[in-house]
Amino acid sequence: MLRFVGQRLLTLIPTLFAVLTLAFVLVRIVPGDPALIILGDQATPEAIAKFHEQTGLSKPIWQQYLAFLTQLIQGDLGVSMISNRPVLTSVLEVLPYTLELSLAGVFVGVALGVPLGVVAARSNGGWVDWFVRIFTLGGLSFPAFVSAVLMLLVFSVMLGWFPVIASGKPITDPWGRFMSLALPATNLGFVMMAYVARVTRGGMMNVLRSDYIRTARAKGVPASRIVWKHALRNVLLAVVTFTGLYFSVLIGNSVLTEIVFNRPGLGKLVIGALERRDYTLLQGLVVAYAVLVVVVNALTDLCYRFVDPRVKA
Amino acid sequence: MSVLVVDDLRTSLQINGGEYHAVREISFSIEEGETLAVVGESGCGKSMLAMSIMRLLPSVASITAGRILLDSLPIEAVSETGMERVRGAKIGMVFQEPMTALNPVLTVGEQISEPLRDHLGLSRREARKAAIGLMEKVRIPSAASRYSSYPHEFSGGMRQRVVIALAIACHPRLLIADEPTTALDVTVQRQILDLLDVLRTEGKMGMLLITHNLGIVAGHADRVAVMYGGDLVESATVTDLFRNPAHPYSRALLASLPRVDRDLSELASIPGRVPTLVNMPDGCRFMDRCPHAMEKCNSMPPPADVGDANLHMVRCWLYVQGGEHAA
Repeated sequence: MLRFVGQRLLTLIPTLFAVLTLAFVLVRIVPGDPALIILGDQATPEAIAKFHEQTGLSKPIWQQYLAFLTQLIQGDLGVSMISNRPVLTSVLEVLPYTLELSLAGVFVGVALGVPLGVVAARSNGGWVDWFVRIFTLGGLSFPAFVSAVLMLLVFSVMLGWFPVIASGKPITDPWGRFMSLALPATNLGFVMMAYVARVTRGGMMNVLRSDYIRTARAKGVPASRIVWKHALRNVLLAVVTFTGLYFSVLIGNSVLTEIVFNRPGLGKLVIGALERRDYTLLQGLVVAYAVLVVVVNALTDLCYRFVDPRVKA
Repeated sequence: MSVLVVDDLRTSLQINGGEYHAVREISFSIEEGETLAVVGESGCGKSMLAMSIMRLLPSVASITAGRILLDSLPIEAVSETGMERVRGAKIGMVFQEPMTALNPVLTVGEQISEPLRDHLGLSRREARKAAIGLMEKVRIPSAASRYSSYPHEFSGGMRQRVVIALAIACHPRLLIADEPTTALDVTVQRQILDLLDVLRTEGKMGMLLITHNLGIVAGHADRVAVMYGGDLVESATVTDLFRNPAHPYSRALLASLPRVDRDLSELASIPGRVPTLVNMPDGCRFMDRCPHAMEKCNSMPPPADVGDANLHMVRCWLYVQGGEHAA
């Protein structure tokens, strides 16, 4: 087990290296000179040159790349070109909010999606199945930013159940923190729920036709346990795979959710950095997202070990 | 006392609004400790018959008439939840395909323990002990240490032993084995069949052995029922059937067996194939392939009660009073 984890962690290194290089290149491909944006259109060539000198932009690109990597290895993501704050500090400050939101979103997606899918598969063609299929179609085709605004309107403004500005509450106020998380997480997880329900339903239909389910029935296992234990354990493989793959999409969607619900998080930071061509901050954010996705993928692989006994090393 | 009595059983399929008889007016019985082999080509309703007794028919199929008495309990009238207490407890079943018959994500021990806990009410610990005992009984080497193994760690033959262990776990009265060795190596086939024989004798179980292998019938069954197109066309003791097959289909089946004392060039085959349910003739279902077909065969199915059901029964117009008797 430990060896497996170790090996898996080792394979992260080349992946991360590739992603970091890509981040470095991508950020520099984005058109627009940060100097012009910060100093304004009227900046003198001298001022621009001085800015380039200070921020290291005047150096050849390979030197910039080497500097970027050496800093990174030391755990330094550089300082923001605009605010001069260390990028790492800015990222770590809001990372918990994004993590919290994404995990809560995944939780909503799986905790609602799996039972919905199972219930639909069991009623195969019945009215429950139809309801779930229409409901999930809604989840798939409704843009998340529209549902976010609608949810805010109904549950926060009209009913007043949840705070309108779901900004971060301190950890010392768990109830307030939960309430401010509930709506954004539900909104973020809703689309995922629809996918998960469909993955579960499809998987369930297949598994319920398999030989080992017939064996279970032939030994008199009650119908509910056949579904929730014998079949679901096998369907979960597909759900784990899907969740791992979908996580990166979900993190992308979290940017929108953070904006609409006005939550602190990586998403808001990204939008700000993009607007201001804050190369270093943007670079740091891409690194943060990449690490997040890569780590989640590694965790997914670990999950397989628990869900599927056939997976070795 | 009969472990299983099947009386005038009919199982039908509903396909596109039409009703098709997959099992037609079948009657037989199995005594304690006895093995009845059901033989016939693929698609002749053998598995449909087994699934009718288990009440595990696909949703398009249903029992439309007849009785199935398991130890005097009318199976056809038991509720669906009631069947959960019959299956695995009073009837055990072994399947054809051991590679896929076990749940890949549950340990072998867990799968054997489950019926023990469900039907016999054993605690987790007791069930574990009993399951290891069962694994030893079906001769799985170092059973205790393999309790926590998963099916993929077992070979086909070993998996079939696991399936057998869980089928006999609760001392069922009847064991249904649907082609239990078809998917196995020849050497393993023999071991599995011998094991089934021992378990049947020890447990005084009745056994319904479905096979298309007449060699297996000769070596392991007491009586044979020959099925064709959903009909039981002939039933007799093994010796009787091999010596004096009566139904043209049984005779053709036996003639297609290679024998050491005959020239291989004499090996006969039966022309044509089993008609699909949709194209089944109204009269005798074997008519189209039968060398003795008469006018009568076309119009009406032969009566199901010719001869003594417990001795030698044959369902053919040739043996009905007034029918032309072909030697």
